Amino acid sequence: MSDKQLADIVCRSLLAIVAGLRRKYELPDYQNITIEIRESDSIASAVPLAEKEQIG
Amino acid sequence: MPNIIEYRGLDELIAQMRAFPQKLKQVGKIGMEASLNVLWENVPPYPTAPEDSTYRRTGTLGRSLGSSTTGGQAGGKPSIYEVKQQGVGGFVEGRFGTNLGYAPYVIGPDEGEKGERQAWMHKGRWWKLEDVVPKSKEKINLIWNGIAQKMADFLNSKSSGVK
Repeated sequence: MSDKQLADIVCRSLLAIVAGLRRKYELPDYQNITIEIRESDSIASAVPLAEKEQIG
Repeated sequence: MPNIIEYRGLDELIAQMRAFPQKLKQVGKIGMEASLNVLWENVPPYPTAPEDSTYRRTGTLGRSLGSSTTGGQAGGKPSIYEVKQQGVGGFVEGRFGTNLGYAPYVIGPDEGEKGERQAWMHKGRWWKLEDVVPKSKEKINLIWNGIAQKMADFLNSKSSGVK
């Protein structure tokens, strides 16, 4: 069995465990919505200005 | 797409501080934790429920943001609240938010993929997570000014031989 095949089996197993736990405890699906704070050393950025606040 | 706050102007200080990696890590962690705390304390309260609503509020969304129906900090930390190094050799970055599945429908942005943006029935009534950013900007700016001063003072003390 290759590493990739093993990794695939592990991932599928984990997903099945997660699905089972969610059903059992009626947990919602997880979907991140976040604010990130980070340092920038560039003037230009690919992130649209409307989505980015700059300070300093 | 996450909301992003970028702080800038620390490049030279950070570059010099790389000679003192433990100190750099320490001040970065202090600044970032303080910044995340500002975001956390600025979580707004739940809006007034519609008059004809029969939905019983559970406060789940608020709890997932470390808050409550009355806003601000309440109870445990937000479900997404982390400080980590920004890439290999990078400084520090922080993430604040919620991983609750339906959160984007309630407090998501106006634009985005379906399932990632605020639903029509919540528009105009519920705030959006991005609204926390302008409320927090000034205080976060002060924090990073303070961090810059700490780094400058530290570097000055090292260069002058003062312990």
